[in-house]
Amino acid sequence: MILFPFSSGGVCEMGNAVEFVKINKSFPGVHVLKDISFSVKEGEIHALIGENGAGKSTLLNILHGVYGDYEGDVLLHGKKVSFKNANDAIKNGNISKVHQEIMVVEELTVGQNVTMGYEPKKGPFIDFTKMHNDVDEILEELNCNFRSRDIVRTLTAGQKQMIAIAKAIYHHSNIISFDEPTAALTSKETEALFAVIRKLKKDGITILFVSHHLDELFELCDRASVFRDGEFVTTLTMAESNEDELIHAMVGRSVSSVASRLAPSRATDEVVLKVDGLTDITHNKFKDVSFELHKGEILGFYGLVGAGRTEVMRVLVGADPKLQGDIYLKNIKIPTNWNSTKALSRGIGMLSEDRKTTGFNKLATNIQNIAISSLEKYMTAGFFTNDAKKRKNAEHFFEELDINPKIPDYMTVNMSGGNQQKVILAKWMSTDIDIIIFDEPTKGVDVAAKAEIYRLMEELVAEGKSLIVVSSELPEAMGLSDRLIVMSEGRITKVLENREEFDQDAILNYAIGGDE
Amino acid sequence: MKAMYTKYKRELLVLVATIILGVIFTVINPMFLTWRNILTVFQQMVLNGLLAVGIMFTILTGGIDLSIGCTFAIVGIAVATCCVGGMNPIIAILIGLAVGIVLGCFNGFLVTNLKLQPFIATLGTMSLYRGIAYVVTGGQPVTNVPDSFRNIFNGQIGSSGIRYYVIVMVIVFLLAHMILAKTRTGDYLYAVGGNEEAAKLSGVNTRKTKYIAYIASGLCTAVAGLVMLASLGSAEATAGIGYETNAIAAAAIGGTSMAGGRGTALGTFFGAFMLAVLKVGMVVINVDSFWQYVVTGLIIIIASYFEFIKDDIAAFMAKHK
Amino acid sequence: MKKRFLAVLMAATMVVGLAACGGSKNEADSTAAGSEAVQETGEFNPDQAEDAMSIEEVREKNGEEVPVGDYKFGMVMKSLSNEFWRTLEEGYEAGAKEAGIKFDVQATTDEGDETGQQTMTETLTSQGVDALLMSPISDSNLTSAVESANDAGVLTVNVNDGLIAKANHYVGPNAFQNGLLAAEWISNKLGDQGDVAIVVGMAKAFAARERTAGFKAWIEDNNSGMNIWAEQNADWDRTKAKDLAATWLTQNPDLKAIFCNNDDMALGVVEAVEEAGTDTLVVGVDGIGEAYDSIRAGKLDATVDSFPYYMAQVAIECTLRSLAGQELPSAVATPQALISAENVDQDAATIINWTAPKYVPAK
Repeated sequence: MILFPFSSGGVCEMGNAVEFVKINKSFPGVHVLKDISFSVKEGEIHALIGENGAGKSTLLNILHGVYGDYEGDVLLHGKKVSFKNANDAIKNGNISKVHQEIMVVEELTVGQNVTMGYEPKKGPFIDFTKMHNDVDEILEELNCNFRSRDIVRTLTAGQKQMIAIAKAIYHHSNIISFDEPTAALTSKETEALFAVIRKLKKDGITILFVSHHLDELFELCDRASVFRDGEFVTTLTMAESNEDELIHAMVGRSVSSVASRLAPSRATDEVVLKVDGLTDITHNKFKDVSFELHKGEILGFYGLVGAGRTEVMRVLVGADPKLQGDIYLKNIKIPTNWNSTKALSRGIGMLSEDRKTTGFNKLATNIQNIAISSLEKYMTAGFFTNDAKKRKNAEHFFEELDINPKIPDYMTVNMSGGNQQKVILAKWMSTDIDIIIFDEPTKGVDVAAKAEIYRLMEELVAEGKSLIVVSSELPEAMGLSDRLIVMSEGRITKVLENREEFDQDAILNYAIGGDE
Repeated sequence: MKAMYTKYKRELLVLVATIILGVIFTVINPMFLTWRNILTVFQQMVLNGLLAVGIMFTILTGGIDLSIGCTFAIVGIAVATCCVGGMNPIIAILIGLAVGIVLGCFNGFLVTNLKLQPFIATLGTMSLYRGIAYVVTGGQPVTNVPDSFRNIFNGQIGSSGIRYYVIVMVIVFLLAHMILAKTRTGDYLYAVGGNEEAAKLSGVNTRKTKYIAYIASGLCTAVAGLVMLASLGSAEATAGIGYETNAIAAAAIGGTSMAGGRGTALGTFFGAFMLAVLKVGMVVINVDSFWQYVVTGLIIIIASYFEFIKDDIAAFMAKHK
Repeated sequence: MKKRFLAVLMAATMVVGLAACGGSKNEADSTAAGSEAVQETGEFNPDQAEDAMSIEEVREKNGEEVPVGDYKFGMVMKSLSNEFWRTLEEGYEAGAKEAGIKFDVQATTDEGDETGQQTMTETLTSQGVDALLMSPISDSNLTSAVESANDAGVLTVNVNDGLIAKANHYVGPNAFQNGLLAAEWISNKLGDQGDVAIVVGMAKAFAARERTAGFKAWIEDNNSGMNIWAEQNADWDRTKAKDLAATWLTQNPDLKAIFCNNDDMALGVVEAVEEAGTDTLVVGVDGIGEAYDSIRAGKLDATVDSFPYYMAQVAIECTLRSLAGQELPSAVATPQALISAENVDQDAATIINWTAPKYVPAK
């Protein structure tokens, strides 16, 4: 079978694979895309970049037939197209999308997932032999180390991501978009993914690539189109550009994208949290974890995905039961029936990693999401909550944290990622807690919002609060932390006591379990 | 004013739909729009209204309480037995409420401590409680409940025809509204239903909150049981079979999301009101019994559909202002 | 958007309108059809069976003596949470004791467990009983069990409803006559004038249909001056019956009588009548203890009792007669009587003029 129809290399190089002409798109009350015109060359890897809410996802949705009602023209290989829906785009446009969230049916085989809806048939029945042969051929082409008959549940996140790519190839797509494909992947998996993407390029397939990781863009992409507030800014050739120029184009000003401390350390010697021999005896997610947090410091927790950092933090804030080991908050041991309500009253809380699923109530407004942990502050007559007081508090933090849009009545779910994170931060700042745990605080957050969140952390320690920052991004962990703890497979492998000791290679070595 | 409209849009829609139904009934039979008949509508929404507001608390947390029909029967039997045995009616009422709390508490225990799925857990207690009702009574009804008890709920204000149990229902709804809209417990109930994990991470005591929901359900059901007992003067183990479905329907029509996190006491009130208007109206215009099921089913489906088109209607009204 | 909103409104209006038309048409049909409606179905109907006899006629035809052998009977009933079935069970016990036979009574936990009842029947058959006395939950749930019992040579007797067309004999009250008795009594009380209404139970079982049909047939056949003003379902539920009656009485305070398909619903209706303060007559069917109490208290006006205690004894007697080779009709009607304030304190045996069967050892 012909896997890559455009593999004749170079023939189409001069043409445009995708061309957008004066695209306009509005949602009720918001003009999200304004006169977007640019083109993507055949066979290039083309990045779409911009802050959250700049319009990248909307543009991709138009390209892939998800939104039908827009103004302007979309041209594929020079021909005007308009798709009825996403399936129509896959089938008739040979254009596929690999989503940010990994979308697979866990209990089916890889082959069934890849061919879903378009299974090879023998009479009325699915021809499983052909299905698995075809899919295995594709997987081999992609250098995948799993096979069509494997059950998806048994695969890693990176392998699941490959299924989506295999699917695109199965449909003979010659244009594939990737919407933040590395969000759920480890760095090793990311490398493997990039290898595949480069191979696709070699075979003549045009790639559109959305990512917040600027280093990834420079590593992978040929050109990048920059968007800001629904407008097209410019298209840059990566080889001739640099990070500063990109960021400047994205945010309209210069921002330091690298996490770094601007203010001096506020760390003291006072121990506000002491963890001693904490062990997860039911699921073995972590073992014998002991450390101290000092007042005013930012304590980093670095490790690979699955190192057990989040699990430890969940116990600290009472989200999961404490089974073995001791925890002391301000020198007082926590009780055995520890729960999140007690944690809150003892002054410790967490901004969770998975903002979309566990961060906030999707059915609630910003006011409600900000007020939920500090309701006792908004009482009248000692019994009834007062909506006006809740609103006033929310408005205060909208100003203080510069949360946009400045509409406290807005549903939090409709805000951009960075602003959602600020809403959650506002919730904790409304309480009296003085130990705040940030679990992957900048995941899926754009560069500008990242920088703001880093500044807020510094302001928090300046106020005397103590922070734990769990991060899988080494520059972030190194740049922010006063001290850095490295975890690997549920154990603390190293505590780096001062910033001078921070060394990228050494830390990575501890993270993959290497000894000192 | 506009804020109120945005907040209670759904509730208003149900009320408008109910009024339309009422107009249709009145056109077919003008008898429908008499003071006495309207009183009848209010009287007949009481049981379902009380059960619906109770079950709404559990639905708000993302759960369900299928055992309400059975709790209803047990409370009736318990209070009837106490009253017939000569107990002071006020003490008997307190015992009835306590029974409701205990049965609701047990549901809460199954759902929070044993982490059973609410549907399965209360499906279990549904059979369990019904069984207890049979075992306790041996299937015999408890009759001759004294008027000293019955008059507490069944009496009327002067000779206006407004019975006390209607007032009781209104008070229960007002309390439910206050709890949901004005107290911390209300915020916690919505938070747990909207995203339990997020609520937990925000320091909300999710276990306590769910207990409260199931206890509230038991308590409202107990009040319904008291009203039933006062109204009929007897209690039997078979009372309330299938009542949970009507209660769920009332809550759903009123805008309570079956997934939890969304719904108001006002909406449930209008939902129960709409069903009562439908029930009485169809008798008044003499719709055949078999057809009543068809109509009720269709109305529930249409009313639920309003959830999806409410924004359309808002846009429509904005355009034609 | 506008269109969708209007479409929904239209749909709602149409549904109600349609149902209203459908309703009135339907009612006209069923009134006109009256008693014929049931016969037309062509299914087995013990109330209309041509060879039907009362127990007195059976005794007259076959002699007073009932031969008894060394038998074991199996009885299958509905939920014992219902007083009616409990009394029937007591009747079985008394009758079996008097005849001196062995027996095994099985009952389901609720009146919806159709398959559970089937399993009980099949188990009894395989245990080797001589006869099965069954009161099925529906008209169909025991059909296959009865077929296999017949094949195994077990005598099958259908006691009270639902109906098993394949059973050897039916023993039970004439439900059609329930309705006749009620209509006749109400007519006498009202001077054959005025509006009457019927509260029906959902027609799942034969009896519900026949009671209503009998009531209507009497009014039609006697050119009665009474007018059937309304007929609605209350699902056999006391609260629903009360609510229904309350709505009626709001509309028509001049409603003279309400006939209910069972006592449970009648007891709910009584409360509504009391609250409305009208002098509407309320008549139920079944004769449960609470109905008797209510009649004594001057609340319920009458009930049609089919005396399950004696029904059970008649069923045992008939089964024994059939086993002894006597010729029995396909349907045997058991005693029933209308109970009102006049005879509520009389002994049941006196009311139905009961004489115990004469059991003799089989030769």
